[in-house]
Amino acid sequence: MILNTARRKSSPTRHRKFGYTDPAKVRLFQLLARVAAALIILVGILVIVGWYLDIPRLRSFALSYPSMRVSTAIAFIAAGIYILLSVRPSANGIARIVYSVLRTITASVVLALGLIRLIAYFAGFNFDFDAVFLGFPPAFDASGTDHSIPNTPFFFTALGVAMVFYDFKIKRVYYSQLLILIAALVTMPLAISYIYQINLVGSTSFSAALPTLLCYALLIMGLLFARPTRQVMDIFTKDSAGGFLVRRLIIFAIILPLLVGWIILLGFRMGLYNNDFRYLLVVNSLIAIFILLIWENAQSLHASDIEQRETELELLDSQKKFSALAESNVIGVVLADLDGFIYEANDAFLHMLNYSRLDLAGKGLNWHELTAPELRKLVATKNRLLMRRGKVEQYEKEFIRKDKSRVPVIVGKTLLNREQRLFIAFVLDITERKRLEERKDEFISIASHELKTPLTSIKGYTQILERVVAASDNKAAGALLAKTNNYIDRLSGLIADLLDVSKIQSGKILFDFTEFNAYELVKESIEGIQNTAEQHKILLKHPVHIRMRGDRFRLEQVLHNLLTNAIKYSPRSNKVVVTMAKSDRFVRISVQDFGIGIPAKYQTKLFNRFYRVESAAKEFSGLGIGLFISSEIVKRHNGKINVESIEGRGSIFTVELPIAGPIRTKI
Amino acid sequence: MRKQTVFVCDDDPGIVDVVKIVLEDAGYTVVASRDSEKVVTTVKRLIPDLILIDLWMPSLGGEQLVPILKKDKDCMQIPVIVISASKDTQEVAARVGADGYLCKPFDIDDLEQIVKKHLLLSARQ
Repeated sequence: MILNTARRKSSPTRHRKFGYTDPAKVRLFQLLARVAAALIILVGILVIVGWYLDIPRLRSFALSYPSMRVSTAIAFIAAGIYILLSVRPSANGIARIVYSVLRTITASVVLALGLIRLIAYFAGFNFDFDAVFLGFPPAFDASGTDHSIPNTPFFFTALGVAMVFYDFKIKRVYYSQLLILIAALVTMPLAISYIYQINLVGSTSFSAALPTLLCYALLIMGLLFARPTRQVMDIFTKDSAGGFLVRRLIIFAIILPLLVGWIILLGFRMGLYNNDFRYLLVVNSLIAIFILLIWENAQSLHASDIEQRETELELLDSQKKFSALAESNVIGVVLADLDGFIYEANDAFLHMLNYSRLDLAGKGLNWHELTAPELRKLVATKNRLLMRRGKVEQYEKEFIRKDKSRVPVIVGKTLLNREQRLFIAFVLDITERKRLEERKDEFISIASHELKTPLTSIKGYTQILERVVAASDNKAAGALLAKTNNYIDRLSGLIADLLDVSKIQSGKILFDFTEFNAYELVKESIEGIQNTAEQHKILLKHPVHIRMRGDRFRLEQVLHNLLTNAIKYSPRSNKVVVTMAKSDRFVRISVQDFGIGIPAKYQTKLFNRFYRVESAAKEFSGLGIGLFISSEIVKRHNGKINVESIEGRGSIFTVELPIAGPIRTKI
Repeated sequence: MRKQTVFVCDDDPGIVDVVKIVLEDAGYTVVASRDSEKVVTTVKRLIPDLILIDLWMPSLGGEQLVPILKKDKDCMQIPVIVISASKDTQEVAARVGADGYLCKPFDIDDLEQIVKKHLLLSARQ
């Protein structure tokens, strides 16, 4: 109960969190991080090879530009390895430790190379690292590298720190990300200067090598993309409108200003306009670019907003429809979980069980507790079915009302939410139907009793008449009376069947179990039918003498039914074969005819009440209750009845009945 | 040898008639009644050799009458056979203390046989 009250406070329909991280996007960014890392390592290796084998193109990519230093190449390789190791940090056991050690080493290499060069720059040393690595003083290209800006040392120092503290956070903030962004921002002018061919320091040479700049960009990308769900990057991987927008706009936000700026610069260099006009153009273009992006942004936001509102309206509409259904009170509607806790129930349901809204809101109602105690096992079975199939076909049960009286109902369930084990149940009160059924049973019982009384007189008079006629030696009249007597027996059989059906349905049929010989049962049943069969010969194969336990009268009724059916539905044949067989626990009795047979699609319905195969119904009379009664009788004996049949070839009905007493075999 | 008397009570005239014809033909004296209220007084006055009685009749049926008859020291030794259209006949017959039962609709041969059997049984005692 405590559990229930606690759960009551939270709404049963937890909303799905929108703006979820899209795992596909996360994997994409992680892949991009790996690609970037691989490219960085490749460039680093090419540069080192270029130095050793003295191939300038490998270390500068373009002959007119400066070369990347060996120390820089080593730092990039270390950083590349670091990123490869960082993409998936969740390795286990020894691998995890190895990863962590390697990451620390590579990050330290980057930081150390950056720091030493930064210190050397500010202290004014000319510390020739490259000579140390190469073993000979590097022969710089003609253009040389201008060291007036310590961009590479600064870059590696900043990123080295970021790498060492990559996965540390202070008060939920990763400051490493901030460092990466600062490094990006600082290197951006260098990159732009390359593209625009602007010399930042006014000297003749560029302050950074082309492969170095390329690796800067790749390294920043790699470090950001390796943690795609972390702040700054996380918005790129969301499946929300924001994620969508940022993925679409970021490229334009970078490329458009670069492109426009380059065109303006080109025009200026061609002398199309003066410096002042150039600024005017830049500002103007920026405004235009902003407006364009914002307008585009607004358009798509508007479209998605409209869509969302329409969806909301539709949702509201369907909610209205659902509540109209629930509140129409034609049928009881219940929202509950598999522990039985009822979250919502409509008035029809509450009224059915004599509870009030106050009862539901106060102490709460429980599906299991409302169920009649002897049926609680059934609820458990149905719940398992519900979890497996998502719904439960309608079944009958009984609820206990507030006043402890019982109400028979029909219940159908549908699973609403698998994780929360929520279901909706539809409950229909069938008290009236049950009452009608009882009255029907009562009616059938009285009717059959009343029908039998005049029938008894008719039968009595007919038999007296038979005796009179037999004395007078009128053979024709005797034969007619014998036939009359047969029809009277058939009529009384039909009346008995009707009564049986109603009793079986209400569970009032009583069985009188005794022990007897299975063979005698079969033999006597065959004799009974053979006496009245004119055309058919009933053959018994493999008689089995074994004692069995059951209601002899009822089992005889089953065999009578199978034998009469076999004769009835094989009008063009002249034999019926009865076969007996036994296993260690059962005796099997099969009745085979060579008649019209039963189409496969009807075979499963054959044992239903009042079921008759359509095509046969036109040709053969009957109520369609014989097999139903037979199968019910066999079921009550813990036996089985089944049919094999080929249309046009005939049918075999087999009854399997348990034999008497426990069979003990000595081991 | 004196004719043995069978008392039969059923609310249906047809059945009473059939029983009367069959049993008289078989050589018994048949006293029939359709009024179940007077069964006990008639039986006590008549002391028949055998009683055939319908289990269910309006107002008073065999189900109520048999126990009364079987408790009465004047009639308790008279064999009682109940007749009914119900499938539970056997069970009810045993419960109320009847000596035998006959299900409707019955064969007149069976009627003759059961009467004969119970008369023989009671004669032996």
